[in-house]
Amino acid sequence: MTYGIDISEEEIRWVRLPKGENPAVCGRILLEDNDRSPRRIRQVLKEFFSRERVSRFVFPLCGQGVRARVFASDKVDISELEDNVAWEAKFMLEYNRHRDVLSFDPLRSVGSQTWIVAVAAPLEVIQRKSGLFPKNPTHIETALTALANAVLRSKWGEKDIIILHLDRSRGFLVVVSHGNPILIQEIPRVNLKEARLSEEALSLWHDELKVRRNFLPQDKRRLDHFLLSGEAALVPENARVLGECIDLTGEVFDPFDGVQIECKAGEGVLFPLAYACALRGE
Amino acid sequence: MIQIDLAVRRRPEKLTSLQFLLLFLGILLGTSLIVGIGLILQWNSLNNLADEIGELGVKRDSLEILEAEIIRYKDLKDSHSELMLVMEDARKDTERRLDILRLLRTELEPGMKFLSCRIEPDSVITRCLSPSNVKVARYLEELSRSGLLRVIESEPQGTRQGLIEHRVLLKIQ
Repeated sequence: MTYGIDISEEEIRWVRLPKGENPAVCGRILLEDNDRSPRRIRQVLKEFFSRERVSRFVFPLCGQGVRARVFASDKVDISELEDNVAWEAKFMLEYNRHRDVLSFDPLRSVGSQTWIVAVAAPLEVIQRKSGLFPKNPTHIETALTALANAVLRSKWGEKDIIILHLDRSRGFLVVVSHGNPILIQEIPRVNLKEARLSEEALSLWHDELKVRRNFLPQDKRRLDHFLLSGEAALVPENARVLGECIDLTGEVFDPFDGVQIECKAGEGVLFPLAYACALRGE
Repeated sequence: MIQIDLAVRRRPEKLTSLQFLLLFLGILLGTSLIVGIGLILQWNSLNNLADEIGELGVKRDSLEILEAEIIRYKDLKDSHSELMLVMEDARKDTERRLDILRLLRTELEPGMKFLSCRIEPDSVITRCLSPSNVKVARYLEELSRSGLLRVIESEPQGTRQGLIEHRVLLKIQ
């Protein structure tokens, strides 16, 4: 059984997929306000791994130099495709082979173009984050690709949507068009003070979403829905209001929609990253 | 599903009891295997050594035989050398006796006859017949002049065949 384990500033969220007679389960381990040090997180994870007998797990990597980019390539030959990836990695992701680890995955072909996702992360960050766990991870995702995977596996996967995963101190934005992620961006310096977004916060996020929507190609800006997940989605009103900011219907994104899982009502919105990581490990 | 993987393998910080046990068993089996192979190789080399020792033993025996032969050969050689020395001494002694005998005969004065002589290691006793004592005196004088003999005494023994018989004692020089 593979676990998806998502460590946020305030808590550890985990999802275990069903296997045999074992049902799918998710859970949260709150970290005390006065001790969120790596040593404490390591200790909590060690106890969790021992209690749950975790052998396989995937976790999402984010922040601190983790970069991701989705781009289209008209190359068909794999070596030319790799050249394209190398160019994008060098100039758009500022990939440094002495410092970073690079991974890329060709996605769907649309017309004569192949969409590719490439991510780069500093080796030091990967090792530091991996070092929090008592075992080696089966894979390491990025939070951005995990969020994209969560959407692609849901009923929203074939629609044109923009999703914002907003926790108290981190934010990820993904745009999916016809079953393909076309924009994935991490939003830096997030500081969500209240569960319900204030007027000031709404104004700020309105500008943020409008600017980021402009990163999309002209022909991809027509979207159907705005989805919200994370701690901000615990208040469904936030999704509706933020959607209205960019003239879209806003809804909360529950990755467990249609999935049998032991989860508290309304808390599913917290687990898209952990859930996608668990799926990635299967 | 996007297949992105940034995982970098790292060494586990601690071994579990099972891993430790497996590692221990692995090391034990590996060591036993290496020791076993080593012992087999050692056994083979010991067998080879035993064969070589056997061959060396045979060589040693033949060398001992050769050594005994050499010793015997040396003994024989020494004996041969001694015999050669004895022969040489005997030859010299014989030559000396022949020289003395030749001297005793060639130095006789006309009318004198040589009867016998006995040659000892350091002296000679000879008997001869002479018509006169003067000729015996000349004969003894010639023997002394040779440097080989020195006259100790000359003693008349009577007459035989009308000649005077003399017995002469000479010292070999």
